[in-house]
Amino acid sequence: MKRKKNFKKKPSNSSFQKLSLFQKPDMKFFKSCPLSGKNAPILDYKNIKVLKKYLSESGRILPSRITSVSLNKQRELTRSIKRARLLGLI
Amino acid sequence: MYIKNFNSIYLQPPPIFIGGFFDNLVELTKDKKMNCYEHTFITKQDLGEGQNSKALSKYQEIIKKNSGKIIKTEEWGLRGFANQIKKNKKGFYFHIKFEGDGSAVKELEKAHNIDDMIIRSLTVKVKKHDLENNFFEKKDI
Repeated sequence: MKRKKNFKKKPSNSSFQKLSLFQKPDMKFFKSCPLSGKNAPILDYKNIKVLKKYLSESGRILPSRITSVSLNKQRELTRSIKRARLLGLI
Repeated sequence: MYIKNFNSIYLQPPPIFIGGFFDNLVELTKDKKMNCYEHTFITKQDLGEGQNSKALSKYQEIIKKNSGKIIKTEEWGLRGFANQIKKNKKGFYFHIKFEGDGSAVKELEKAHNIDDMIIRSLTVKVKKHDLENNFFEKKDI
């Protein structure tokens, strides 16, 4: 196995001190929402392929703290999953 | 042919339109706001093709009678359920996209409750019809 060459380097000036607590860090800690933004899949009760990604093995809805879906999209997702359950698709 | 009095052409007074006439036109073009609906229903497994097409045409006429306008119909075919519904394991799916009032939806639900051949149905109000994607398209081999 080769190691990846293009990993993110730390900032070169290590002597730089943080000015305040609320300064934004360079590295990202949180993933962005996979259902919003460009090239996002269509959320619909007919689109079963997308909905099945956000279900557990026993068929329960996964929480957004694990999948990092935004709050607005999580509300849409639960609505479309419950519609698909009613029709017996999932 | 040549015109003697050029002034007679160019100095004609511009035509005057009556304001009331155009005000009426604007009101006529404003149609009643029609809602977009998606309607799916499931019929029983042991029905033949003839009975299924009868059921489809029956519910399409109900929409047309109640001042509705059908845009697209889809047949998803025989599909297995994830869970048993009313002791059935499979069923035929039908999907209708239409525009209309709420009165069409009421009449549809009334007719579904009486009919024994129908297992379940669902109507959804949408802002805009998505005519590009068909998620349950049959693949021809």
